[in-house]
Amino acid sequence: MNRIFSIYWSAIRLLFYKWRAWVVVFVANILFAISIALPFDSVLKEIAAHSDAPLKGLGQFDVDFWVDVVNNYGSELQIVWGQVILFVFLYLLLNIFFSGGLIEGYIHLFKRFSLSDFFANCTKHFWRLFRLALYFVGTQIFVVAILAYIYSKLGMSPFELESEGVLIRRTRIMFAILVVLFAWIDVVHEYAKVKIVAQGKSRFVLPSIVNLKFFVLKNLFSILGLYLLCALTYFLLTGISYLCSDLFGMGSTGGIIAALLMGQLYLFFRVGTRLLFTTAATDYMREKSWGDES
Amino acid sequence: MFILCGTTIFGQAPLSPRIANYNINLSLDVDNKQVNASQRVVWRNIGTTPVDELQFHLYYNAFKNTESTFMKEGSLSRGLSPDSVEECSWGWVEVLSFKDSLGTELIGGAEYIHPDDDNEQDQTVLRIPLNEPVAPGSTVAFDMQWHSQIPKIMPRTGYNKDYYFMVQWFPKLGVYETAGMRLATEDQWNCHQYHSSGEYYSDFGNYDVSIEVPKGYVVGASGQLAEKTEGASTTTWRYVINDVIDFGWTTSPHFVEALQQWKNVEIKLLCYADHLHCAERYFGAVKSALAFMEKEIGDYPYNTLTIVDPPIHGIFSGGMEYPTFISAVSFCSLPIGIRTPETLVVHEFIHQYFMQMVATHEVEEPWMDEGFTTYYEGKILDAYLGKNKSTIDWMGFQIGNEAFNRAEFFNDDKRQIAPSSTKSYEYTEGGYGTIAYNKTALWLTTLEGLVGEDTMKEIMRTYFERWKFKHPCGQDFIDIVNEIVPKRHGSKFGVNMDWFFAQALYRTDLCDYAIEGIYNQDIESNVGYLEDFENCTTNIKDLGQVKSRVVVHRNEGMKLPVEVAVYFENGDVVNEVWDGQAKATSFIYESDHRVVKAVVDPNKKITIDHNWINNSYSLEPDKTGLRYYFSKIFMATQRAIESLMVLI
Repeated sequence: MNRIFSIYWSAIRLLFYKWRAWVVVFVANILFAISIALPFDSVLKEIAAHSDAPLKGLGQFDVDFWVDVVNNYGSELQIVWGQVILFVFLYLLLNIFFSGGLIEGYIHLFKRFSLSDFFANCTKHFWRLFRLALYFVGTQIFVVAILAYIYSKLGMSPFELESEGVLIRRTRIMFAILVVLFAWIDVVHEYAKVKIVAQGKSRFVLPSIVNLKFFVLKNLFSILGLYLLCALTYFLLTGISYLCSDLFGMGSTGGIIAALLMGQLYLFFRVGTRLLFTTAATDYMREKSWGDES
Repeated sequence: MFILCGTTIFGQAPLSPRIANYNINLSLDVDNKQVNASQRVVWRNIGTTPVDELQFHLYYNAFKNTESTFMKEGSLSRGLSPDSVEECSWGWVEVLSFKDSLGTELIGGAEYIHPDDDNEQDQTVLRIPLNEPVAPGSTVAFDMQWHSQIPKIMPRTGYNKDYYFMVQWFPKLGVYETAGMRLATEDQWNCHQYHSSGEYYSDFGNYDVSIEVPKGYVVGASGQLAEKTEGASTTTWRYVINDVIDFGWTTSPHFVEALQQWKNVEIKLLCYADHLHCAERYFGAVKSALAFMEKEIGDYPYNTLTIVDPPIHGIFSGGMEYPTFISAVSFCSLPIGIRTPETLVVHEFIHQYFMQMVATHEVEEPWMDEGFTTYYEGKILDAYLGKNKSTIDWMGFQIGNEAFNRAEFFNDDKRQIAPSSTKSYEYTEGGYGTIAYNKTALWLTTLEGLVGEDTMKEIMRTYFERWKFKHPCGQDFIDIVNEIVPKRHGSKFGVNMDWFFAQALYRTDLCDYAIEGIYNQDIESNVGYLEDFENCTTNIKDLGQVKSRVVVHRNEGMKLPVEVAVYFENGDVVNEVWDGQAKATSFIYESDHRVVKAVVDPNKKITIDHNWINNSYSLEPDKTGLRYYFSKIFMATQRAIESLMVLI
C-alpha cells in the first residue's frame, strides 16, 4: 500500500515538475474551446446583438430564448454544428499527437522541457499511438455493442415487466459493468501508451497490448490502487468545483469574469488529473523496468 | 327506480338533465379476460319529434381486428405488440340481447353503421331500430345483455397481467342532439365511430354499477363506493355516481390505496406499492388544482376523485380522464424535479371541468377540451410549483409549464398543418397534440394578454356557469367572449372579437412582430432660397433637436394589436399602440433626446409570437447577456472536449 502512495506522490511531483507540458495541453484545450465557442458567439451576436432577450437568461436556463434561436435561426446553427464536429475530431487527434511528447518527457525525468523536443517526440510516436487509439476505441465500441446486445436479450419490454424497478436495477448493474470494463480498458491503454513510447522503435503495437494485459493482470492490485487514487483525485476536484460553482453570481460582467476564471482554474487542474493517470503509469512502469520486469 | 326519481339516492338535487342513465351488473372473468354484463338503460327523448332508433358506441370493437377505423388511423404499432398479435389479444364487445320495456327482443334488427367513413369493417357504432318510437319528452327503459373480450392493454384501456383499466368499456348511447343544439340543424343522433384521437361526447346521467371481481382484487371507479358484498370466491363492488357523462373503473389485486381529504372531496390514490412514494406529489398537485379551479371557475360538485397510477405494464392507460376517475403516470426513482406526476394529474383533473361538466365534443372540437385544459394546466402548475420550474427543475435545468407548452408548439414542424378548429380524426397527417393542446393554450393566453386577466376570468367563469352540464360548441364560447369583451372594453377591440378567432381558431397563420430598427437624425435649419429668389441661405444650423424613427414590422400573417414601448436617452418612456394590420409601421418623434431602445409587446402578452428575440432593439445594448452565453458555451465546450479524452 505504501508503495502505491509513494508512486502516487511521485506522479504528482512529476506532473508539477513537468508543468510546461501541462500548460501546453491546457492551452490547446482553451484554443479549441474558443474555436468552437466563437462561431456560436457570432451567431448569437448576429441574432441578438441589439436584443434584450439574452439578458433574461442571466444565471438561469431560458427555454424561451433557446426555442426562439433554434426555431428561427436553426439554419445558422446547422453550419456551426458542422464546425463543432470537425474541431472535436481535430482535438482528439491533437491529443493523440501530444501523448508521445508528454510520455517521452515524463520518461526522461531530468531532461529540461523544450517545445522543439516536445513536438519532435509527438511526431515520432504519433502513428503508433494513433493506431493504438483506434484499437482501443474499437474495443470500447465492441464492449458497448456486446452489453447492449445482452441488455436487449434480457427482456426489455416494459409491457412484460412487473415493475420498472427491475429495469432500473438492471440498468444500474449494466452501467456498473460498463464502468468497470471501461476502466479496465483505460488502464491497459494508458500503460500500453507508456510501453510503446518507452520501447521506442517497434512498428507493431499489438504485441505491446498483449504484453500489457498480462502485465496489468500480474500487478493488478498496485495498478488498480494507483488508478483509484488518481480517479479519487479527479472526483475530489470535481466535488470542490461543484461546491464552488455558485460562489459567483453571473448577473454582471464582473461575476461572469470571476466565474470564467474559476472555471479555468478547475479546467487547468482537471487537465492535470488526466495527466496524473499518465505520470502515475509512467512512474509505475519505470519502477517495473518499462514492463519487462513483471 | 332510483333514476326515475326526481332526486338521487343521496337526496341531491339534479345538477344535469340526466338524459342517459345506466344500471350495470357485471362480472369480470380474469381467466378468460372477459366481462359478462346485464345493463338497463333509461333514456329520455329531449327532442321535438319521435325517435325510432337508438345509436350506441361499442368502442371495444375498435380493438377487434386490424380493419377497424381506430386501427387504420393509428396503425397497428399503436395497438398490439407482435407477441400480443400471436396471442390473439384483441378486444371486442357483443350485444347479445336488447329488449324494450315490453320485453320485445330488438337485437335482430340491429346493424353496425359508419357515420364518419365508409369503413364497413368498423363495428364501433350499433344502430338499433325500435318497435315503438319514443315520443318527445318521454322516458323509456331497455334491458341489455352483453359480453366483451378485454384487449391486452391498448391506448387508454385493456388489461395486462392482472391489471385492468376499464374505460369506454360498455355499450354507451350517443347524444341525441335537438335542432339548434351545437351544430345540429335538425333533431339527430351524434354518435361517431371510435377514432385514434378523441373520444368523449355523451349525455349526462346517473350510473349505478356493480362490479364482481375475484376476492382479493381492489376496485376503483367513478363515483362513490355504495356497497361491498362478499361472495364465496368473489367480491361485488357497487359504485354510484350522478350527473356525469361516462363511467370508468380499474382493478388489480396489487393496488394499494392512499386517501386524503380536500373539503368534502375524498381523494383516493390507487397504485402499486413501488409507486406509493409519489402519493404526496399527486395529492399536493391535485389539491392545488381543486383550490384553483374552485376559486377561478366554480365548485367541484362531486365528493370523490380517484387517481390511478398504473404499473409499468399498464402505462398505456396513464394520462386519461373520466368522470371523477383519472389516471396519471409515475416511475420508481423518478426525480422530484421531473414533474410528470404533477403535470398529468393536474391536466386530467381539469378535464373534470372541460369535457366532463362542460361537456364539449372532443371528436368534433378537440380544442375546447384539450386546449382549455392545457391553458389551465399552465396556470395551476406555474402557481403551484413556480413559474420557471413547474415542468422541469433538475440538474440546473428549469422549465416552466407555459414555456414548455410554447416550446412544444414551436418545435413541431406540423404546427401549421391544420387550424385549431379541426376535428380530431381529420388530423390525418399528425399535428393533433400540437394544435389541439398547445396552440389553443397559446392563443388563449394571448387572448388573456389582449383583453386582460380580469376580463378573461369573467369570460371563463361565465362560460362555465352558462354551459356546465350542457353541450356547448365553439361558437357558444365565442359568443361569450363577444359579450364580455365589449362590455368591459367598449369598442377598443372592435364590435366583437370575431377577427381574433378567425385567425387564431380558424386559420394557421403564425405571429411575429419585430422592431426592425431605430433611426435618429439631428434636426438642422433649412437652407436654400427660403424667403425670395435672390438670397440663398447656406448656413446650416444645428437646432438641438433630434428626429427619431422607430420601425416595427409584422413578419407573419396573424394581425393583432400590439403595444410598443419607446425609450429615450433621458429615461422617458412613451407607450404606443399599433393595430398591427399593415406589414410595417413607423413611430416618429421630434424631441431633445434620441430614442435608444424600443420594445414591441413589452409585457409579452402575445405568447403566440414565435420569435421574442426580435421584439426588442437597443442602440446601445447591454452585452452582459451575450457575454454570459459565450462564457457558458466556452466552459461547457472545454469540459465536453476534455471528457472525450477518456476515449483516447
